[in-house]
Amino acid sequence: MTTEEAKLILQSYRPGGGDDADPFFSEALKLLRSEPELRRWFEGVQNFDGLMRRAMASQSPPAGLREAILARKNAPPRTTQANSRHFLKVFLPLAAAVAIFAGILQFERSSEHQGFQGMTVASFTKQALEIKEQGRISLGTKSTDPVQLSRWLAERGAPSNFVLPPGLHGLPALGCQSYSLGGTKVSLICFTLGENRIAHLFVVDRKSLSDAPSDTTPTLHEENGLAFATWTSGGKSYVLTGDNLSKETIRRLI
Amino acid sequence: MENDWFQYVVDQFYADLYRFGLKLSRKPEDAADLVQQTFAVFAAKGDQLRDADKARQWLFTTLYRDYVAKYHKSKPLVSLDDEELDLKEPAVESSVHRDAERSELLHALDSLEDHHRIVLTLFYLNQHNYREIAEILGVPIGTVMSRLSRAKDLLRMKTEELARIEGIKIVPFPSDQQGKSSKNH
Repeated sequence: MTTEEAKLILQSYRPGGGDDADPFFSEALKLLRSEPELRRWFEGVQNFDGLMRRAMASQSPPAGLREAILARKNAPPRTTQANSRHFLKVFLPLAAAVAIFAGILQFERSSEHQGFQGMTVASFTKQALEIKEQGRISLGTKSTDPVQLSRWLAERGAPSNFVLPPGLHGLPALGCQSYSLGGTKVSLICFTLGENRIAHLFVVDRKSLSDAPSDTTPTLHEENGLAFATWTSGGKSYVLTGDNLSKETIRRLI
Repeated sequence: MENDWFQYVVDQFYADLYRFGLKLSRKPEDAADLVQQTFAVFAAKGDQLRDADKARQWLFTTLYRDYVAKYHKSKPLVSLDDEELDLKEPAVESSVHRDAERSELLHALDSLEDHHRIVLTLFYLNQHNYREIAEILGVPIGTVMSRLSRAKDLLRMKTEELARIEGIKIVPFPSDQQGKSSKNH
């Protein structure tokens, strides 16, 4: 075996000695004893491999992933990419949030709320803002546990697999609520920014809207003094508004 | 499937599966999806896998295939014919920054092309030997070996490049003189 052949083989030798018993490496390892230069090279490779191994190990799974896997044990496997979006997504970003909660809102189907067959981005936005403006927001559960929040939404068939915008990461959550608008579920999660400032994030499945684009960046709006943002991403459409939130504050949240 | 066995397998492998999924997709949410879907299939079909090593191999293979099917339909990640790559011969005084931040090392790894990044990820997860990596990726053992060798060269160069850009002090690292000899494996 030449030195170059030994190097090729030893590049596949795992740091930590996991391959000590594999005869495939024995001749190359034996060569290390007689070739100091090869040994120095191998020590360098092992050092570098050790650094990389530790770097890899430093990447921790998101909080709640294990629990989500265990909770889903008895659920049937999902078959499409869109369907595979799991409720975990809601509590990946929520994991850093501290939750406080209050209330219940039941938004009954009524004549003023048309079926989602004809619902558009504009009508979804309008109804979400109406819920806020008319003071109909209350929260269905109280929990500091993001897993529990996700389960609560998922149990009610409400969207639970959405991604929070960067500015909401780490904000203390107040809670969540599910709405039934024309038979389609809408989720709401509220976050506190302190000083009576509360952010309300409404989420609906994009497929429930007749005209939702595939993906859009958040757009800021202001109507009648109420600031809000809308966007569609990852199969969900969002409306973000709030109590006592300026347009600039909304901008920082999205 | 018994809950105890399922939970044991989850506890043993979900973290490394997530890391693998993260390096494949580069997106945390996609990685989490891949892991959940893999375990959902395992819960439904993995009854016959009563050995932890077999379960591990099955899980990584399933996640990889799921990723290719979902996210990489139009472009096979790993061909049977190893591609030619015009690697620069590593400098004799090649060096790498031993104190480089882990994030920089991972950034360098992320910057590699798929076929190099994936084989290195499996290698550095330290769960699999070269034979098992070949099985997971569905390529010959020789391809894994040559890819590992080349990928390490590239990673070291990327790391050195980052070290220069960031102005980090670098320390000598033994050069690998066999880059050319591995090209045809």
